[in-house]
Amino acid sequence: MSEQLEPELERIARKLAAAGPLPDAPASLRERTLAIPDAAAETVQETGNVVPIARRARRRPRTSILAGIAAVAAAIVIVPTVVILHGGSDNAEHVALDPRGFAPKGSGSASVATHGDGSATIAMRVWGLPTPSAGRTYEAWLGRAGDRRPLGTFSTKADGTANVSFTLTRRELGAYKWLWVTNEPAGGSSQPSNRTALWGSLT
Amino acid sequence: MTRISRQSAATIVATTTTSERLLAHIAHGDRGAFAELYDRYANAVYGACLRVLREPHAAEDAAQEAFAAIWRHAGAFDAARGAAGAWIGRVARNAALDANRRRALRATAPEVDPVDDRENPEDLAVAADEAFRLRMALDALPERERTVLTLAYTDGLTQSEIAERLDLPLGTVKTRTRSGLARLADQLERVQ
Repeated sequence: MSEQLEPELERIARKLAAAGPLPDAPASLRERTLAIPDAAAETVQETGNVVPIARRARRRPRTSILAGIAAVAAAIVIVPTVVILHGGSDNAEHVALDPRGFAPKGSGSASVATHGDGSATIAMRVWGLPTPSAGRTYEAWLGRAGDRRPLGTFSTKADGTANVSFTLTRRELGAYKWLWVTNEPAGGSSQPSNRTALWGSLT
Repeated sequence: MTRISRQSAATIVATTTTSERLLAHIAHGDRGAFAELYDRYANAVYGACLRVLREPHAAEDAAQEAFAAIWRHAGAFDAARGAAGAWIGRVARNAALDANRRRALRATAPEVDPVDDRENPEDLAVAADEAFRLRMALDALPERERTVLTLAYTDGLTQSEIAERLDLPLGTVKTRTRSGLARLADQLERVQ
């Protein structure tokens, strides 16, 4: 725009240009949002023109479902075991695990399978991982925005390879978008560090 | 004492378009009003969250948090103290900042919810709030002015290109640009 404008209008024009185009909200947001009244157990009424500060994380419908099965999840044993390629899977997805900063020469793949009995298996094969230092180990994670779930710890052989398998429920698996491996203190962590060795996206 | 039954609320919503009225009906549990408010503000709320969080999934979560807060706290809105758009913008900003704080508290893999240290989240939130109000004000402009301003300052077209695109005299484009910006400045004051 080459037209000379008064300073006030020029200021507005600059702001308008800086604001940029409005992004389209994801289609999934509408469904999630319109489910809020169903999920809301209570309505907090306040007086005055108070802007609510959402200090507490509210459960969204999807997470409330997960919370509902939390007790079941607690009972699920997630034990890394030597993989024997599992059979009988109804639906398998292969995920490439790409190297990240902690293991620049590392690589891996995972077969993510769901089964008719409601279970799911993640069979992961990794190679090129550096041997963890004393008191350290590797840990696998599932995650999505704002939510990480530790799958379990595992060790590598001297040549940097490992074959491990994790079991969880199909419903749990369906909620997550990423699979990754980090280096953690022996015994594992409840939250992943940023020492990321491998990274893959679930589709 | 004014009491709005759900049935009468639905009737009113059907003939009322102000966001302030929608919030009043949401405060009474009107889901139709909530859906209408969502459709009106979804892109702006999501955009404000994305501007702060810079990650689509995190922004989607924060936008949902914002709408959940609107659902829970619509009764706290007081039209006498400000416009609905400004209030919703602040709710979105707070939801995004809270999400950013939670994200910063977690030790995360860098690929997940990357925390951007290059800019202060509070500054980003202020910019997001300003952009939100600007978009609300832009939406309130007459279509002919809104179109010209959008083509000029969002799409980056020159006035000559806009004139060609809209098949208008160049002078008309200049006039609409100037009047649109002036009206925008006025609208911005109203949604403070």
